Amino acid sequence: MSRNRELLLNNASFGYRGAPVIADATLRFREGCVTAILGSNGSGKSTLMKGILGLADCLNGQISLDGRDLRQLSDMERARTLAYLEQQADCHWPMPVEKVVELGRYPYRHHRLPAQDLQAIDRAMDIADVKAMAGRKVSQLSGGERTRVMLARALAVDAPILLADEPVAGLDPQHQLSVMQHLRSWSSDGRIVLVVLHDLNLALKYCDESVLVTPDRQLISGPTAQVVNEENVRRAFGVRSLVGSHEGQPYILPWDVESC
Amino acid sequence: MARAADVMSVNQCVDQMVGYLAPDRLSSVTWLSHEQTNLEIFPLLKAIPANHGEIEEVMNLQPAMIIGGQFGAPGLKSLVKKFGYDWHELSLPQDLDALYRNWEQLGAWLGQESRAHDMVTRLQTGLGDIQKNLAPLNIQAMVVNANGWVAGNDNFQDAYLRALGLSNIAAERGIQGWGQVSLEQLIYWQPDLIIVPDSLFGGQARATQWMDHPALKKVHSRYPMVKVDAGWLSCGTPALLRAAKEIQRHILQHENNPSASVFIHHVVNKESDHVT
Amino acid sequence: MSRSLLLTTLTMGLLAVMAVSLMTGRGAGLTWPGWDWQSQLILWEIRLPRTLLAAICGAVLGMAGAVLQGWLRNPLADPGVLGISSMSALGAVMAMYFGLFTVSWMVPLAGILGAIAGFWILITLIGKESGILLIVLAGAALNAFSSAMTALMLNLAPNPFAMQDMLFWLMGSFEHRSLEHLWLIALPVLIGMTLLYRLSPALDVMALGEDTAHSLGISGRRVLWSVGLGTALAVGACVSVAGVISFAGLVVPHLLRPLTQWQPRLLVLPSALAGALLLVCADVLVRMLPPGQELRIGVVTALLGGPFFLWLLRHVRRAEVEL
Repeated sequence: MSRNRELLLNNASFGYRGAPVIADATLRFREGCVTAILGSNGSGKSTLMKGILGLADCLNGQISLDGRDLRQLSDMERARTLAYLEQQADCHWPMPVEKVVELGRYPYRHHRLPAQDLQAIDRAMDIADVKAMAGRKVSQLSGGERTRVMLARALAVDAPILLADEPVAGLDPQHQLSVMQHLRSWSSDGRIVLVVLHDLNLALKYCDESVLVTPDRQLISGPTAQVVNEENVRRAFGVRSLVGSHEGQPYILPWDVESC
Repeated sequence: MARAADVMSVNQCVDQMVGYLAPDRLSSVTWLSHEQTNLEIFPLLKAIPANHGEIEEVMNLQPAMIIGGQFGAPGLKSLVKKFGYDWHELSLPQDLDALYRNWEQLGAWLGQESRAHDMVTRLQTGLGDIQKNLAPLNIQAMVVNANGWVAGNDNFQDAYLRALGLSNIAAERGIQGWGQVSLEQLIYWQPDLIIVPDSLFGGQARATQWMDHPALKKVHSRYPMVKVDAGWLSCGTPALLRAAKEIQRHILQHENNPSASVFIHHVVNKESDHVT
Repeated sequence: MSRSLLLTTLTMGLLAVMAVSLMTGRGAGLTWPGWDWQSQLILWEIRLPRTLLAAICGAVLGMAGAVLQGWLRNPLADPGVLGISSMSALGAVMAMYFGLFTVSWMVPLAGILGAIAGFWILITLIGKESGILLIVLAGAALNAFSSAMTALMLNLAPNPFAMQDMLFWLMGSFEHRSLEHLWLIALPVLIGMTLLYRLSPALDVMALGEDTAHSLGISGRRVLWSVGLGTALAVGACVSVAGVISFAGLVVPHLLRPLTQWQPRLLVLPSALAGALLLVCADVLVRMLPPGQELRIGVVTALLGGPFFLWLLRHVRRAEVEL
């Protein structure tokens, strides 16, 4: 029936005002897969995401979903295709949580199916575990709670592709793990999920594939277990790590700054 | 006997009055007199250098006499006296007698008593003739100045209206000195004639534009509103007489032809025959 | 408070003060209009246009304030505070006193162009992401500059009465307006308010920030154009017939925000109604004073809005907006 969905970057360069930050990226993101985007601060992880979204300029190359150029989509079509969770996402006014999550349905406002909307909102709030605070104002929530509300907002879009920029920053370990768990199950519904992460172990545990952006703007991509190894981590972050495994699951512990 | 130009004027009305009595002696007029107007005295004053009422200008000109008004330039007045110049000032007239006294006074200062006397006679007879014509008509008039300011009792404009043989409805309605009227009051008062001092030059201003309000056009007054150049009414010179003649002409014209009363009559736009 | 209750209350309130306004004469107090032709003429030709104009300008300012605040995520935004109104007054003054007044619609057109210029200077040169206080500061500078330029223009104007119009332009007034003025601004106000009103659903999304709004299908450029043109058309037209009336657009959205669940989208329509209510009230107040008292409507709104603005500034500085 439906073939496997595939988000394809072909020789794509992204940047601002004509200056590329990510150059000649050729990457493939498959449905049902969570892909971690890793790299040091300022390496261009967010730019990669913004390039896909059209927030950064696409200087050359193609971005396509199932062979269809994403840049040909109208604003609303693109919004229904790509959901985006901004880094340090926040809501400026103290709106009720429920109303914030509802905003995820904005791309459907011209052909709204109330039942479908309600279902998507309900599910998103469930997954992000924000149902209990539905009636409260976002301004009254803690930072971590707010992050989850924003995640729910992004999930409510119910798009085939989810781009989440550091969705677990500022969350406690339990919520970090549960958010990652939910992103994973979200992808298993036939969606493509991209997550910018700083925690290598969350990548190892929950992400099938990874893209590692090195300081010299090289992209190393592949199955996470292969990408996140001691050598690559040293190259990307300049740190020496301890590696190990638990019940067949690898983990990696950045231990020491590499001396020159 | 031609004397050198040695009189400096620091008041717009004084500019004009000296212009009539002793034009050769005017060495300097206020800058306001250089602004475009259609006063008959304008070309004469325009040719005389302008001052801004500064003490430096006085010292530069070394005039034999400086003449100002009662309320203008208080700072200049004290400086001028301090430096020992000959300062004269005319009081602000509140009625026509005071205006005539001002002419006589100015004539005495300038040594032009007979010219001053002729001027007073000219104004008196001119206004007297008009009064004879208009008084029998029993017209309730009012002058509505910019932003709705109207003259009540104890006011030169009130005296002027009475000199024309018109009764001032604003004074009758209890306005003292200066007062402000609204459109609504104008509609209720229903004067027979509204006189609007307006500017012929420089396009529109909200301050006078409101008298074009459509509601006023729907009031069937005895005579249509008449717009007179504001400059003609601001000083007691022959322009005052000229304005009076225009008002008389307007009244008599519409007295014979009342059906035309819907339209506002723009007196000022037609006058060009009066340039010296 | 439910939305329909809020809208009904505001509408009823607006209708009530409009009725009061129709019965209020300048310096005459509140009187029931008689059936004589004078009272009828005054009612339909003087008080009705004045009341409608006050309501329309109030609606424009309230709506523009709500939209600008939502769009900029800035509780201090308002066409007056940002200098858009005074730039528009400058444009109108330049047209009116310097010979462009051959056709009556030139003044509103110039007012609109002035507003566009003000908006452009503010947003394109200063940048809308430059922080709440910086943009307010830029607005203050623009305000000071354009008010001074307006004064200069009136000084230089060839018409000797131009100087007497200074208060009108700087402080606003609905005095002496006729139905002609209403027709003159009807079209730009209608288009402007439509543009602004159509933005309201997007305003909620804008609360999530520019990038997220983009990801939800909102084109920043299109919104910029709508806000800019909508504000300029509606505010520019109003200023050209009523002068600058400041703070109305600032106060109104704030008072309503708690009643609309802090959702910028739900704020737009009530703000328009409440803005109309406020200005009609203020205009009634102005007329209650005896003639000769030169109280302007802008003074009334500033008396209300000035202290409010300072109070807001203090809160914004402390902890953003939990107001």
